[in-house]
Amino acid sequence: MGFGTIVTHIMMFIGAITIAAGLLVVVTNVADEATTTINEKQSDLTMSTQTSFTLTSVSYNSGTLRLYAQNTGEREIRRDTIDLFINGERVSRTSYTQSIEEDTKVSNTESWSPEEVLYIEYNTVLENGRYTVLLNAESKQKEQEISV
Amino acid sequence: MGFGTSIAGSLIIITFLVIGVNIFVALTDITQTSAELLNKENEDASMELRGKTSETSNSTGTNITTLTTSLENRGDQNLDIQKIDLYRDGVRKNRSNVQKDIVVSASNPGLWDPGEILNATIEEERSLLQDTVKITITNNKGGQVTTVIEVE
Repeated sequence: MGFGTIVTHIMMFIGAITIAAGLLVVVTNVADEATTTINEKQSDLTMSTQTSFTLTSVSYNSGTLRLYAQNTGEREIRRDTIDLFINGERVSRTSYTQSIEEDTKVSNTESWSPEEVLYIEYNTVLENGRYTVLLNAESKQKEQEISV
Repeated sequence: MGFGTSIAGSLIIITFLVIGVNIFVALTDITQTSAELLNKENEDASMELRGKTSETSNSTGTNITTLTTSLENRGDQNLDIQKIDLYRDGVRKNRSNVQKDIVVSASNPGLWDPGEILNATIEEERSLLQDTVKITITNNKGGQVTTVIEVE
């Protein structure tokens, strides 16, 4: 085997390794991104699956709007994400009070734990008519219509 | 085939194997989560109204009205009796003030099995009630039933 042939083989060896390495870097990056995206979607889906609540009762009587909602999911819901809307208008969080019904408490945390009943009391004057009351918590929404 | 080509080929095969395993694991996770979501959506915690009564008596010198609502567990899950809630005219009653009894085929104590009938009873002073009251009963799985009872 001549010197020229050896040089040619070495160059081909280096070329093959370089192309393979380059290809691997590109494919690995693409695959990593795909895996990360799939994992993020899976995490979002898990969170979404485990977060659920039911608006069990909405009533208005003598200037007081009362809402009860039960956490029917599998994870705690942050109470600082809760928002109340009446006919599409958001009610300021400082205008109403919210608490966990004592006899449903399963933990002493500030969060709204699974199976606990949340009570919201909002003192306001509503004219006669139909109202859509919507409760939003951690991007989940539940609404009920009431007649006053 | 030269030595370089063999190494390059081996590297590519190993990398594709690793990538394939990673994607397989991620897809398995997402499939599992989707299955859990589907199972959760298929859970049925419905209840059906079977009867309602109102009875007022004056054995203690005060008119006391006993309101009873009968429901059947129409879902496919055993429900915890302690976690059944009752709302009268939109106001939740404390669980200790609601009497709950299984009246048919109480096979699992403390649990309200599918097909069984539950009586939920509250007592109120008649003077505090309107001529009709709205009763809502909920369970901890999201099922609920609302009815209106004419007070006798």
